[in-house]
Amino acid sequence: MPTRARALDFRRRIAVVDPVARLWGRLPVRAKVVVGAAVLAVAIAWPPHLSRYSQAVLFFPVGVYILLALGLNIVVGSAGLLDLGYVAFFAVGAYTTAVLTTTHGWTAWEALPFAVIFAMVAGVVLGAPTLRLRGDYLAIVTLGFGEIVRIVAQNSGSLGEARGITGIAHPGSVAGAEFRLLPLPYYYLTLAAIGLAVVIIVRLGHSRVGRAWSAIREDEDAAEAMGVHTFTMKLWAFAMGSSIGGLAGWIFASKVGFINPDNFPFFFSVIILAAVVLGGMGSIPGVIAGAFAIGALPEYLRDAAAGEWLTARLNSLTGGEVRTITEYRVLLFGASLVAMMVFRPQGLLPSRRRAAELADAAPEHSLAAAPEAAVVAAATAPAAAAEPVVVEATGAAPDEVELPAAIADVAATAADVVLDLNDLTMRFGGVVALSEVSISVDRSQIFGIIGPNGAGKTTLFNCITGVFHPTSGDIVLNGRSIVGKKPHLITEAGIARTFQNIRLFPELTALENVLVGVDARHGTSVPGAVLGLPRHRREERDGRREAERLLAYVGIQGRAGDAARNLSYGDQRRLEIARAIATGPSILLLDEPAAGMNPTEKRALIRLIRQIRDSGLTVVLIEHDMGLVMNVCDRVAVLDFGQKIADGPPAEVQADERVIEAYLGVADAS
Amino acid sequence: MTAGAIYALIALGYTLVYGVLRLINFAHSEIFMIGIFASLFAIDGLGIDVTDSPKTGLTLALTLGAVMVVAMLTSGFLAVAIERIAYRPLRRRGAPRLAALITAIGVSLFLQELFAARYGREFLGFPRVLEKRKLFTFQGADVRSDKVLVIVAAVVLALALERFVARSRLGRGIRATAQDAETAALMGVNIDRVVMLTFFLGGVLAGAAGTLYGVFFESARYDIGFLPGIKAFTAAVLGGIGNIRGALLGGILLGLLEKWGATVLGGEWTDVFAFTVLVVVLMFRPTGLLGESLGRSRA
Amino acid sequence: MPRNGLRRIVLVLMAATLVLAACGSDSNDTGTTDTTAGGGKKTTVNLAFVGPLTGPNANLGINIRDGMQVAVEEANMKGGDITFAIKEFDTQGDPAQAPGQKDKYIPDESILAVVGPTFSGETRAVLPDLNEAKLVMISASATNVALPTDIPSDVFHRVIPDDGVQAAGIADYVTKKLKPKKIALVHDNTDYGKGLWEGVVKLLGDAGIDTSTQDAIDPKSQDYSVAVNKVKAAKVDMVFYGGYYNEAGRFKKQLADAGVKSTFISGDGSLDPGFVVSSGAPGGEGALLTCPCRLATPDIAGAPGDFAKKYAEIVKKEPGTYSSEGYDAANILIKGINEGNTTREKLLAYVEGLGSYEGISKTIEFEKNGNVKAGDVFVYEVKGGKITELGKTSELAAG
Repeated sequence: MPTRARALDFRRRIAVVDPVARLWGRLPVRAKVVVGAAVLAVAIAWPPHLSRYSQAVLFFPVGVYILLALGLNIVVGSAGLLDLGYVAFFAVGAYTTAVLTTTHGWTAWEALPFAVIFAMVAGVVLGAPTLRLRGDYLAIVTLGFGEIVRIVAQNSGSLGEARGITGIAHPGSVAGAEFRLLPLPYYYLTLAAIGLAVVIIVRLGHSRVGRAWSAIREDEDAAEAMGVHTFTMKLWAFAMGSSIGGLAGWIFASKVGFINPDNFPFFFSVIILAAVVLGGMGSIPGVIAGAFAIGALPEYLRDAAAGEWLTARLNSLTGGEVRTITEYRVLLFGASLVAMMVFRPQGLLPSRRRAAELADAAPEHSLAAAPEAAVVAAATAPAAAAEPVVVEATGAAPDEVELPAAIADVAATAADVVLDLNDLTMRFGGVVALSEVSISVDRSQIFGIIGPNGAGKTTLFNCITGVFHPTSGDIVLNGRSIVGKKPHLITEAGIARTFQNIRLFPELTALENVLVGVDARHGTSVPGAVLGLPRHRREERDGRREAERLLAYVGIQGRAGDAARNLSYGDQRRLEIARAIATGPSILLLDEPAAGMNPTEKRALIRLIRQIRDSGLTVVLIEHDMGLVMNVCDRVAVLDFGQKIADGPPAEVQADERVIEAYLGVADAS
Repeated sequence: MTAGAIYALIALGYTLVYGVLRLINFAHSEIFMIGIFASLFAIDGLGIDVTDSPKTGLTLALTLGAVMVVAMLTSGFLAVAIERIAYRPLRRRGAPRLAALITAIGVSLFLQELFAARYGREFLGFPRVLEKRKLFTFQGADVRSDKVLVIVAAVVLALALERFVARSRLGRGIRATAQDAETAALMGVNIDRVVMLTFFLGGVLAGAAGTLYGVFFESARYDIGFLPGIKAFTAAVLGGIGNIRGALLGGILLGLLEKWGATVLGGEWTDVFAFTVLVVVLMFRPTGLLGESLGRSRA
Repeated sequence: MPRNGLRRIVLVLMAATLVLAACGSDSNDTGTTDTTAGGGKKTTVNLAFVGPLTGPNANLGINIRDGMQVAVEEANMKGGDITFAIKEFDTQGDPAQAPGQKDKYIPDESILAVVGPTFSGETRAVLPDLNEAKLVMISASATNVALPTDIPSDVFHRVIPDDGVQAAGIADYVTKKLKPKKIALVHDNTDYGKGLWEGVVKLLGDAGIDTSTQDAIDPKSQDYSVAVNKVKAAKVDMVFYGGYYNEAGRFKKQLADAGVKSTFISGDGSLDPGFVVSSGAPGGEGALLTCPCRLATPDIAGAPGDFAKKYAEIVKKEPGTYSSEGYDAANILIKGINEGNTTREKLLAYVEGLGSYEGISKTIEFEKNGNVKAGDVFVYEVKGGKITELGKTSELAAG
């Protein structure tokens, strides 16, 4: 297919042509730190030698844009939430500062925590009703909120209406530095804020929270199924992003001393978003570079002598009679946005992940098509070579591998009847997908669910895991009813699943995928990660070790550092199973785990499933391969048109007439 | 109500493109703006200037018709050009949606400023082509000739579009691509052509909206498309983005809501009111009032 | 492959631009000295123009800048040691852009004074810094009443009366000459528009006129039908609009289209040919526009007429709103500099101690807070698509 071939082609090309991303990605951490320190040194030592005007530009727009872009990057780049109204939080911070220091006479420093807190509250208030919306709906609603904040300010007497608020206090002097009208001290203040933001973002990135955001960004439903509290995490993203916005608002207001609604137009949100995308979403150096470019270039263009020549050229192009280059600023800005995106959509300094994402992304962001993955496997020889090795390892000796805690902890907690479905019915409008299905799964059973296509098997799984709310009936796990609960809570209660069409997080490594599952059993949230609390560090350490154990348990420990989308098909299945087990379930639901596998892979899978059961987990699997089902299952239930038509040991079910009829139809009377 | 009809026409363009490509085409507001300018130039080209008296009867119909056709074609082809130059390279590359969004914004800014440089930043006035006669009064509000024209034209065009998408072969292609592009391609649908057609149709409607706007508001400026564009997009989401009838409903509803909000709360709260309604609607019906359904056929 | 090569070139170019941007544009113009052929030393003194030269409502800034230009060219033609020049700082009238510009003209030592800032909002944004730098400003158009009280300073001066005076003039004219029973009052929610509107509402209400019909419009929108309907339903005798010429004209047009025939009156922000364009000539007919300023036209006897002719020669246009005031402001500064006040402190002291100055727009005497001692408010009418002067409100109200 042309698209796929071209995609592979591009991957090779991008790998060659994107020297910056590759170079940066290959540098060891130490080198990156050195580069970062060098940049920081220049940022500190050089500005005092510049003119006052340049210093002012470095504060605003450059410095403030960088700070805001870092904040927006959390929302858009990390968590993947499209926010078109980010200026609202900047405005909230600025207006809070203004009102507190004028009407209530506080000092600027006293107003600072409140500016940040109010902005954070605004983020939560905006997020709570809207985060249930997907993608572009969120975009228009956030746009609306940005405008609402500005209009409320414009219409409120207490906020100065169109007149705005004057006389905002400058920060009191600190450590000998005076904050009055000169821009330089504010620049350093902004630099400090940027440093703080970077530290926070890096810490969050290397934590349970950051992984949760990545998981949500890549596949929100799969994340939810792996126990990620998607709603809470998205709200945190908003809260962190908005508080950084509020901080920027405080700095801005306390420098300029006067704000009014015109300082916060929709266009401002657009600029910050452009800075993030232009720089390279998700990459801190990229975002900083992008914001720097967007802030500094237009100001530069205002004055440059090159401007005259350019103006003349542009005038002849457009037929206009513009006098100064200033009037062409926005036109050039727009044109450069287009050019940037067309030539380099991953941004100036993309995170290596994003560059790769772009290189081999098909229009659908999924690992779905097995044939495609197979082609990838064929093209990258090492993967194929690893296959036989993997099979060996699994077959070798489970006892030699250290047992993951997830497995070791299970046996104690499971009840005798692990899962009990009572008269489960699921209706979609007029269609009855499941009709009064009752199934009982005992501890340490391997329970198979089979049936013709469309019988309702995956729907059953979706009901059990909370993706659908059953129309009626009950689902009891270890003695407690879980029907109607949210997916991530059900996962926490002890059910884990894999998906029919493999839903790994494609750009995360194998290890990271499993870590997301492990995270379900940990509790560190934003405060813990940002402050680097002991609990966070312990959980990271233990989590990593556990994930490695799990990878070894399913036999793919050699692939820990590879992006999930680069794994061979068989390895991807194993990885999905490892990730599911990581959440510490009592029962594992496998949806067509053997689909697309060759006989060798199937044998390995059977061994793995038995190994899992022997470790104490209960397994329910949907399958079409009769041989496999008969071989591995202790008990089988058969669904047809949403009803259970048989339930018993495999041999019995195989001989059941109704089952034969359902699969093969009634024999001709002849 | 009149504003709502214009929003509806513009919203149709947004909704079509979004339904097929999942792209918020920010440049659509400029396609609308250029439709307004094209109408102005067409009127100029017909030799009508500010001193001429308004037309009536057949002359009026022909004049308006000619102007509208010019605007529709201009906007339609411009939309296709934008797609070829700015969006297709990104589509080819499988670029993230955000990149396409930024490109759209860049195109929007570029076009605005281009017109600002060429035609200045002051308002350009339209000669009066249609006399604004009060026809009758309905529940306290004046029903004027130009208002009637705008509303009738908008409804007719929207229904024509819906018919086309639902019944014709090309329309089927659009719906198929909206549902599942890969499969559609396997079934022999030329995706590139479908995309071009989608943009063309959206542009045509925006051009028509431009003519109606010019006749009604009688002014043009480089940034005149921005606010109606945002409102139209809000209308499209309100009605259910990707849903043609939803766009029509959303546009008219938004127009009425704005009117109502301004009357009750005062002109300065209009936008707040409109957006709040949007949020509330989306909270209870996350895919808009009529849901997303470009792919689904009408029962 | 050519594609790779192109990408590389683009990348390199972008990187280069960034580097250039970072390093460049640090030089500041200090006063340049050049010798003339005659052997004498000439110095260049710069006056800063601050205000909108582009963007919406740019005309108001351009008019003032052009008025300055006439003053500067006249001064240079007279000869002398000092060459005057104008340095322009385009804020688009936007208080958000104003701070960025001030960081350019305040450090520039060759700039001794500012004519402007043009709009009230942007003045508010930069006044504290101007005061700190002791850089004297004379605005030709910032009329918000609260400016000198909200931000007390030494440097603030304006050569036009504030909106309180204009509102009083409007109220005078309306109550004594036009005598409506009921008036609708609409504003555009901007600092200037609403400010003027509030003054007018209060004064007319105090005079016993029914001012209950009030509304606001969104200047960014084009559709004012709600306000129009409100006005129409209220069956008022007059309509007052506080705001700028584009919206004022559009509002007037929509009123006319809706069949509202009441007299329309608006303030100095609407006094511009743009009003006529926006209202679609027949729609704007009969509208009354006031200004605490006098439009200079060639047919006025004396200095204003001469100025208008000079202006037409140099700028190739007729003077616009506040051109005369810009001319006067520049001339005050030019006079002070020519008398030896060639530093910022000295020039500030000169302006503060100005006493009385005969300008072409009025006799200028500054009060302690920088306001000019009250001047006349003029009324203009749109007749036949042109803005024609009717006279002073004080005279019209009496007569």
